[in-house]
Amino acid sequence: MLERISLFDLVGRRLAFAEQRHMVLTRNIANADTPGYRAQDVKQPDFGAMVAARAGAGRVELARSHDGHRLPASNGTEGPHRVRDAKVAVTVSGNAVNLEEEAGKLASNAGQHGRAMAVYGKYISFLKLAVGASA
Amino acid sequence: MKLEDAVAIASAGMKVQGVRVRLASENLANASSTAAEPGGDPYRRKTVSFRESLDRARDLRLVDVARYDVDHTAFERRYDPAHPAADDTGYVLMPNVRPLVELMDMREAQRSYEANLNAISMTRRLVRQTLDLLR
Repeated sequence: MLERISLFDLVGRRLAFAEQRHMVLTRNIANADTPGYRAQDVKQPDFGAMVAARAGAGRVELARSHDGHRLPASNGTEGPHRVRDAKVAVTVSGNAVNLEEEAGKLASNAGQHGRAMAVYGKYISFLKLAVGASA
Repeated sequence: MKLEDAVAIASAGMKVQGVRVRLASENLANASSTAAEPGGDPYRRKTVSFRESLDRARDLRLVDVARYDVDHTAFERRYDPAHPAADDTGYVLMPNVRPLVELMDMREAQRSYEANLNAISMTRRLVRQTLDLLR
């Protein structure tokens, strides 16, 4: 029911992304000494484009002047998928995990999760206020 | 994917690092364990390597011990005719354990262990952020 309100849908996607990324980063840390293991990360969906798509009015789209033209697929609808992190040095055993970098990513990801959660909670209290319940 | 799975992954990481610390202390403790009989081989340094493994029951990719191995580098020959393990020429074979290497290995294992521990507390933070919505 709440997903039909676009903000809840958007925040829900953001939270799902943060949780999935958390899993991938945790796996990187657990495999910090596994030979041949390369650190992975999750490609972030374009949340800005999602907001723009939901805002509707004032959106600029490509014009189709010919029937053969095809509009680009909408951004951010494809699910997150894993991408390899190419910047980290590879050790002799073929392992490419930098603990500090993974720990930093983990912390910033938790921060983003917290912010999304705060927005979610705030919006719920708005709704409660709107229906006259004591928030 | 659930957040609890992240805890399972991180604890698997802690477990393998624990194995590594145990082997390093075994090696350190036996740094001067010579053969029981004259001319025999002394203690051989043990090593361990990890691999990414699939937990089919939970559909999770964890980390576990790939195999235990021994270090095949040459033993040090020390001249000590009075030693019970000395061969006919008076030489004793000493273990191929280098305490400095073992200490560094242990330090690195400890660092990885702590990183996994941090991943768990970060997971707890994410769960707490979610549960805070209910308050």
